[in-house]
Amino acid sequence: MSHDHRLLGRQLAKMGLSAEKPPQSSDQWREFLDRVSKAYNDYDEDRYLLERSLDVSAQEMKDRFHKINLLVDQLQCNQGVLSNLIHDRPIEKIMGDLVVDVESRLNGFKGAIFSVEPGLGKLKFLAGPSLPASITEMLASGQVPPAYCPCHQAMEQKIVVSVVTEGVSEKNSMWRKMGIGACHAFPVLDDAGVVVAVFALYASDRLPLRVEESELMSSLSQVVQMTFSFLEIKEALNRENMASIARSKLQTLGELAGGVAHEINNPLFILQGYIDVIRAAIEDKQLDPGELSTICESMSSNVHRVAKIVNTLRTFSRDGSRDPLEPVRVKTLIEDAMELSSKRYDEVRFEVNMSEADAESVVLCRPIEIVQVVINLLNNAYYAVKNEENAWVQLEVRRAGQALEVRVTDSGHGIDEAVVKQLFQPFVTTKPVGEGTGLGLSISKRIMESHEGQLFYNAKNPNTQFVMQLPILNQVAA
Amino acid sequence: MDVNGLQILVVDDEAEIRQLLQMQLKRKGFIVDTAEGATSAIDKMDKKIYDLVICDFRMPDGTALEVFQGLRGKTRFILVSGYSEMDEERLHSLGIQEILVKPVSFDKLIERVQATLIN
Repeated sequence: MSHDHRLLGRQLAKMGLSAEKPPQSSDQWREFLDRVSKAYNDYDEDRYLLERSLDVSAQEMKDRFHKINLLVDQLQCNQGVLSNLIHDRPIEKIMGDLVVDVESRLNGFKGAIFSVEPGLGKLKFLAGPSLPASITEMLASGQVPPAYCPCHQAMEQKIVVSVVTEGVSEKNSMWRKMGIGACHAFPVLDDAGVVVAVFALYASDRLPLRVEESELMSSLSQVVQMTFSFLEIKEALNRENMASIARSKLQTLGELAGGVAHEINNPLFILQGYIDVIRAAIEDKQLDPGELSTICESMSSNVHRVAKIVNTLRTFSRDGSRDPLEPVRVKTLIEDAMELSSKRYDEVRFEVNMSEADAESVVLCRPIEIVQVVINLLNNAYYAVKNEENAWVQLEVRRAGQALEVRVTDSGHGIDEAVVKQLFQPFVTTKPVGEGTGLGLSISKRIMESHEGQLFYNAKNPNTQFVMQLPILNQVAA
Repeated sequence: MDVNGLQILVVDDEAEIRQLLQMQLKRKGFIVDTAEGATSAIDKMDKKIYDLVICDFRMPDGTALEVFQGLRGKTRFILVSGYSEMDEERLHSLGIQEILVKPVSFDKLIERVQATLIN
C-alpha cells in the first residue's frame, strides 16, 4: 500500500478497494476506470496548458531579445555619433560614419543620408561614403528628377518608399544605368512630425528589404533624428554665445564712450583755439605766413590725434573673435587699451608700470580680444573705486616665467569671498540694473582661455587685483 | 570792463592748451601764468594771489578738486573739462560753480571769464 500515490490511495479507500480487495462487480470496476480516466484527462489538460504557456513565453523572450538587439544596434550607432559630436566633427563626417556603421549591420546595401532644407522641400546630399563616385555625384548634383526619386517621395509622403527595378520603364532604365537595382528610402521625422532627413539604402541587385532590416532601419533613424536635433541645439547655443559676446562688447563700448569723448574733446578744443587765433589775426590784418604754417602743422597733428582715437575705437568695435592669432607687441596692446579707457579717470589716479623690455615682448593673440579684456578689467577697477577718497588704479605688465602678466589693481580692499566664488560666472554682477550685463568677466576669462592664457582674481593682494596671463612668443614682431 | 592788472592762472597738462589760453587772455590785457599740473598750480597759488584760476579736470598728478581746495582769498575758479564722470550737480555741491565743457570757443571762454570776475 505504501508505494501507491497518496491521492490514489485515498480514492481506493473511498471505493473500499485495495490490492488485497480487487473490484468484485462490473459496477465497481467501471467506477474505478472512470476515476483513472479522469485523472488522465486532468493530466493531459495540465500538460497542454503548460506547453502552451511555454510557447508563449518563448515567443515573448524572442521578441524581447529582438528588441534588445535593435537597441544594442541603436546604442552602438549612437556611441559612434556621440564620439563624433564630442569632437566637434562636421555633419558630413558624422553622417558618413553613421552610414558605414549601419551598412555593417545590413546585407549588401550601401547607405546615403540626405538632409531636408527647411521650407524649401529640397533634399541635400550629406553623405554616402560607400557608394561609387558616379552615383554620389549624381545624388549630390540634384539631377535625379523628384518623380523618379524614392527619397523625394519618402520626404513628401512621410512613408518608407521602396523601388526595385523590375520591368522596363524610363525610370527603371535610369536607375539601372546608375547601377542601382533597388532603393529603399526611410523618412526621418522629428518630434513634431516634420521630416528632417531621409536615410536611403541602395543595392546593385534587385534586393528587397527584409522585415528585420526594415525594423533595424526604423530604429536607427532615431539615431539620425537625435543627431539632427543635437546639432540644431548646438547651433542655437553657438548663436546665443556669439550674441552674448556682442552684447558684452556693446556694454564695454558704452562705458568707453565717456573716455573717448574726453580724449577727442581736448584736441578739438586746441583746434578751436587755433581757429580763434587765425580769426583774430585776420581781423587785425596781421597774417604772418611763418606763424600760419606752424599753426597749420599743429592743427594737422591734432586732427591726426582725433583720427587715431576714432580708428582705435573702430578697430575695437569690429568683431575680432574669428581673427587669426598674430604676433603683437605688448606695448601696442596696452597703448590701444589706454587710448580707449585711461583718460576718463577724472578723479582716479592712474598709473602704468611697464619696463621697456616687457613692453617689447611679443604675444600670439587676437589683439582686439585682448584689448577688450584689458579695457574690461580697467573699467571694472575704475567703477569699483571711482567714488572713493584717494582712489587709484594701477596697470602693471611683467614677465612671469614663460608667461606675460598684466595685473590690474585698484585701491579697493579685495572682493567679498561669497562674490569671488561666482566672479567668473555669466550674468553675475554687483552693478545696479542697467549698468552691467554681468558678462564681462566670464567672457574675458573665455577669451583668455581661447588664447591658452588665464584670467584670475588674486586674493593674496591686499588691494583688489585681477591677473591676466598670456604665453610669450620669444621673437620680436616685424 | 577794465581787466588791466587782473591775474589769471591757467592749469592744464596739455602744453598747446596752456599756450593758446595764455595768448588769447594776454591779448585781452590779463596777466597770465600757467601750470602744467595740480602740484605746480598749488605752489604758484601759495606765492601769489590770483583773481582767477582756469583749470582742467584731470592731470597726471591730481585733479581740479585738489587745485580748488588750494584756493586762497577771493580767487575765482572756472573748471574746463573734456568730459567728467562727475555730474555738474556733484561739482556744484563741492563748491565749483563755473563749468565749461571742451571744446568751447575762446570768445565764449573770455565772456565767461569776464562774467565771473564781475560777480
